[in-house]
Amino acid sequence: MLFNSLHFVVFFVVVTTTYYLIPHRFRWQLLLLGSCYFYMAFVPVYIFILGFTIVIDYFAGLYIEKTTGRTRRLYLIISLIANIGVLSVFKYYNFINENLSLFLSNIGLTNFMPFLAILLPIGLSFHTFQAMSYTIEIYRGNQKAERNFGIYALYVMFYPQLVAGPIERPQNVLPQFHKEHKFNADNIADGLKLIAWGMFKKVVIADRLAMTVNHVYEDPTKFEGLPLIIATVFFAFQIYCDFSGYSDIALGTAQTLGFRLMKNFNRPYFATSLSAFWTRWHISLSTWFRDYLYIPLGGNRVSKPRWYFNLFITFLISGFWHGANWTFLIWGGLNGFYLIIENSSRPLNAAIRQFIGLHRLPFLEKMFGLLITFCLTCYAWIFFRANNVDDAWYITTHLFSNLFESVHQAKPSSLGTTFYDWFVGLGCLLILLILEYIQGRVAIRPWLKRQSTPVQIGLYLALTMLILLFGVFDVQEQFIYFQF
Amino acid sequence: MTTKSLFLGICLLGILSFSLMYAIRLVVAPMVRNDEVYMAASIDKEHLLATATKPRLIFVGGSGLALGLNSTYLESQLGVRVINMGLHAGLGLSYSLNETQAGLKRRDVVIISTEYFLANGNSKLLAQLVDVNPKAYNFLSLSVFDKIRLFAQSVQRCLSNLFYKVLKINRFDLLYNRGAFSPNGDFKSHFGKQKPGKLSDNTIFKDIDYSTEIDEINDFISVAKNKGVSVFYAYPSFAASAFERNKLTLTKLSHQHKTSLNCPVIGTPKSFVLPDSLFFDTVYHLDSLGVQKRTSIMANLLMSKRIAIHRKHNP
Repeated sequence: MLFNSLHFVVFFVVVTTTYYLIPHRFRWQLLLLGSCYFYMAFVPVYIFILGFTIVIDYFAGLYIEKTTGRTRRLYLIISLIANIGVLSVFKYYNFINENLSLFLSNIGLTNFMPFLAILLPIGLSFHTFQAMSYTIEIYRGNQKAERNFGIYALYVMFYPQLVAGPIERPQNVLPQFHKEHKFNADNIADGLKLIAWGMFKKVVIADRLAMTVNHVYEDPTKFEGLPLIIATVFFAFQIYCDFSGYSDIALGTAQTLGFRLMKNFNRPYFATSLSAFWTRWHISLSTWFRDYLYIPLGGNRVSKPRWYFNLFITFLISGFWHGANWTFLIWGGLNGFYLIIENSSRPLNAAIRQFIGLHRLPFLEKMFGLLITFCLTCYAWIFFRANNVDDAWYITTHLFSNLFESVHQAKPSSLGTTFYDWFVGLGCLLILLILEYIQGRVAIRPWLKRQSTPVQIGLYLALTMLILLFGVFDVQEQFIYFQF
Repeated sequence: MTTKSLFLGICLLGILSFSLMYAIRLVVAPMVRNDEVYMAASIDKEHLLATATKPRLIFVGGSGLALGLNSTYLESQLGVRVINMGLHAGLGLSYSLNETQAGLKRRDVVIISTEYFLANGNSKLLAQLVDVNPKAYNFLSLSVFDKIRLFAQSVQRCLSNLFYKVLKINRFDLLYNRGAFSPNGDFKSHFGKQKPGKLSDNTIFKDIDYSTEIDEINDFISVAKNKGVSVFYAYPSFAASAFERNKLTLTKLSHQHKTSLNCPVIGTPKSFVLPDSLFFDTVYHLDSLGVQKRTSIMANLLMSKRIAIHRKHNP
């Protein structure tokens, strides 16, 4: 059941209406039932896998709280092994097995491990991480174990964020399930507005840019030069609009029910450095890795070589979290490498800026930083999007090949789409970027609320019409992060 | 904000949105309609089906049939009027069957020869179809969700056509258009034209259960039989390379056809597999040599099974 489907619209209306009609004490049960239905709309039988980890973590949480010392640690380890084990089997087993076969065959041995024909359960990477943060926070003494099994299950399965985050912390979400959320028209209106905004980003911008990206990346060897650059830049905006669009829909859906989830994006392409980029992109995952991997490894409070190692390994694992493919590992490693270079070259960077006088032109300095960050990020996205390492290698080595000659190929009809699609997609992308730029200076939502009713209705009518008139509904493009 | 104002706001937004969309469709559609597009050929095919004299042999399918048959040659071999209803697989199985069903006459012979695993129609293509042929809406089997999607697609199509009209960009397809069809419904304008490099639609089929669609075909067969019409099933022309990639799946499908279809099956999938060199631009679309070859195979199979043969008496 995709968020951009009529099936979800009906589901959302039914669940939200029923939620406010029933007494508070039954609401968590309704949400749990709705979440089960939502999850089973994908592959029903996988609810048992979710159920397995929920049971393990629920009891692990109780026992971690009750016990001390080694036993306490043992329950935490059991919980982590159960979650990472499920993730490893369903997500990484075949990848590891394939590479093991390759390695063994190169040294004249045979791999007897069977290949498993299994589908990745949807949202597995997200809800296992959310579950792990629960037991870790209990272990650290920052969270009390949830006594109500149903409410704990709902914490893991809450449908707005079940399949692609944000990856919540128990301190933020669990208390909200106990609190009564009274019907609040403003809340619901704000939630619906956020949903509409997310839909706009997804179906109008992301899905339109996807046409060119998919056409080029499906067989990149047919292209060189400008088409590859165009497709890569398009992908940078496609993945942003797709994922942030999904996050807005998730946050908006939760808000209509009275819940507040964490913000997952903060205008990342306006970051003027790579460090700043990672505080604005997929914030829930970045902070998860920061709190549960990077800082326990020592963070930056260690020697420089160790600090750089911590950075690199955190990003490498973050890359691997995204998928069982060498391309994701390279993407993660590359981003780690970027940060190492950025941190180690800070003094040199500052000296160069001082020397050329850039520090006296703050706007130019910002634009320069923004452009460099965007270009480096785009380059890394090649590995994220390419189907395999060979394709990624081809693209990176042919990005600037025959640039002038490739101009004739850089037209919509050669790149799997039409002039109209580019006009609409890029036009709406420009609207988005302008609004995000303004958002950096003026809080748009409070400003909108101060406008008269006819103006507000006019603006939201315009947004609705943009979605209905320009949304891509003929091909149901799954949200990119659903595959993780 | 009160509950009442929230509810009124949502209703107002909904009414205004729908009204604006309806107004756009009402005003813009006639301004930008192009009656020479490929989908408009459905009007000619329906007219042919309504007016062609008996005895008739009707082929039902997608563009694989349109670009896969020489009806004139078949007529000379079998002595019957041949009607090629093939248009576009993207219009879906329901449309192809319903459209033909509406024009069936007693003693017609129908040969269903659709692309592999043909199922639901694509809403964008259906919107193109109903734009130029509003009558075709009656042949669509649409759920409420599909109808909403189709309506939205029609409005979007109006806007994209308006965009190109304002910019004076001519998007008339020189190859795939209404004028490319012969009086029998065969598509011929690609004969002798340069082929694009690679054959498209060369996918690997998923091994799926085709029962729902076979039931749909059986429903058509049942209605056809009640009207005194004979129905047969034949496989589409298919490029050899695509067949090799999908051999197992197609063998399973053909077994499902044999056991579940309520009509005789002419030949096997392999009967209509031809070398890639005889195809034009997709794994279903034949060039002129390929059309002749496929038609000969079809004629021989029909004659060997004495299907739709009508010998004219010489004076």
